[in-house]
Amino acid sequence: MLDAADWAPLALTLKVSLLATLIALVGGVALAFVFARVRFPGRDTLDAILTLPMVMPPTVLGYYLIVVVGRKGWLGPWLDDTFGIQLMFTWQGAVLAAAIVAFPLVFKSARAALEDVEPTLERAARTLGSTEPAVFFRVTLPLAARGTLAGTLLAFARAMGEFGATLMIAGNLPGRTQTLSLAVYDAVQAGDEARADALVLLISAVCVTILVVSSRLLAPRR
Amino acid sequence: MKLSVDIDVRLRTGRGRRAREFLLRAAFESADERMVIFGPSGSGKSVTIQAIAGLMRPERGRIALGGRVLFDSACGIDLPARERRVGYLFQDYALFPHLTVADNAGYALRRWPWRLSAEGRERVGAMLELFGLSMLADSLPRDLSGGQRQRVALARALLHEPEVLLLDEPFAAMDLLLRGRMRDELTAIQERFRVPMVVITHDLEDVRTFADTLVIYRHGAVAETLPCKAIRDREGEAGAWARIQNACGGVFDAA
Repeated sequence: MLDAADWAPLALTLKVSLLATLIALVGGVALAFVFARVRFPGRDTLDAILTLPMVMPPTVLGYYLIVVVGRKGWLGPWLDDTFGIQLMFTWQGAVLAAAIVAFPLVFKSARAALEDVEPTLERAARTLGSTEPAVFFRVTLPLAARGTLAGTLLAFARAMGEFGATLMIAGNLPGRTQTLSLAVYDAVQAGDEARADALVLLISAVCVTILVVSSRLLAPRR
Repeated sequence: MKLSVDIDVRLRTGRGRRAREFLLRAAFESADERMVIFGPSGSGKSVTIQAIAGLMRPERGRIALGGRVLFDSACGIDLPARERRVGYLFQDYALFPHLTVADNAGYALRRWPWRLSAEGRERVGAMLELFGLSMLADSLPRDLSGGQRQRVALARALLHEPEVLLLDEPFAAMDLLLRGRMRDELTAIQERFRVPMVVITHDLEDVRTFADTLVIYRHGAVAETLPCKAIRDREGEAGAWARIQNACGGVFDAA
């Protein structure tokens, strides 16, 4: 059913979406914490901008990315000269695209979970001698862990399924930037229905698993 | 251990159109071991002990505990809560819901990387034993009764070895029977650890039990400071009680 050529997109997809989820997790939780705790002018507007990748057409997002990190983009040449990082038509570019579409899912759920943490508990930790990082890692984050983790799993699923923005920035190069969802598209275009069936089943199984686990995590305890 | 407080705090109460603002001026000091701040709700009692604990910043003033200055707006001193060595018993106890009774009690003993030393484990064990909580060491706070929660919160605060213990209406959420028992327990604990404490309350029974010094709040200021212990020594229990009732009596009519 699946031959060696099919496992390459799966391995690439897992690598890309795991890295993207990690980036979205760290960035999402950090920003969610700031948004949940600090009032600053323009907070609502910035919140909307950060949520935009969730509602914007992926192609629009892909276009923005090309404008920013493309070879002739605002940051592209600088990234290449300074760090030797090329994002166009590389798997790193696919990571960036997936991280950005996955980000709002972590950000939204982490923010809601962090806002639910009783401030009195953090104050109690402070009177017991905890520094601010200790308060965060021993009290705030553990209490927000369930909601954050559920959002992270959804982010992972979203990263796995990313198509539009990835196609525009990383292209569809078999063995290099061709993830599962792009491989499905290719298989259908080529009329290879058996391959498309196998790939689709594979993706569906992974996504169902993620949804079941995340709904378990979100279900009220007891 | 002498505690002296002299602070101005801007207080906001209510919301929207009913919001009003007033300035709390609190100034008192005492070297007695047990102090009670008495006043109607909304009179600024909680805010006062929050300021002592470093959980809120007064507009101006000075707070000193023993020889240490915790806060002094004139000198720009404002120790963060974690450095004040002040135990705070929150009204709802504020136990960490994700930690067991033993981990709650031992919270302050864990330092990066958050392992409990053998000595620390021993101290937690001894403290739980003292509070009759040993059987509940692995329980979560949500499975405890009100009295048990308060014991855990006390054990947790005491293991941090505070220089003063602040208690925010410690018995308000309890039924009468439990209230009496927990008052006795707290008295015994205080005598055992000799930790100075400040109790805020609007219950005269708490005043009778815990006040060596009584500070009465009225109209956003200290109306009276009564040296109950000195009066008790001079005039006996009945005489002191009469003075306390007399002093506290006007508070609710006026508020």
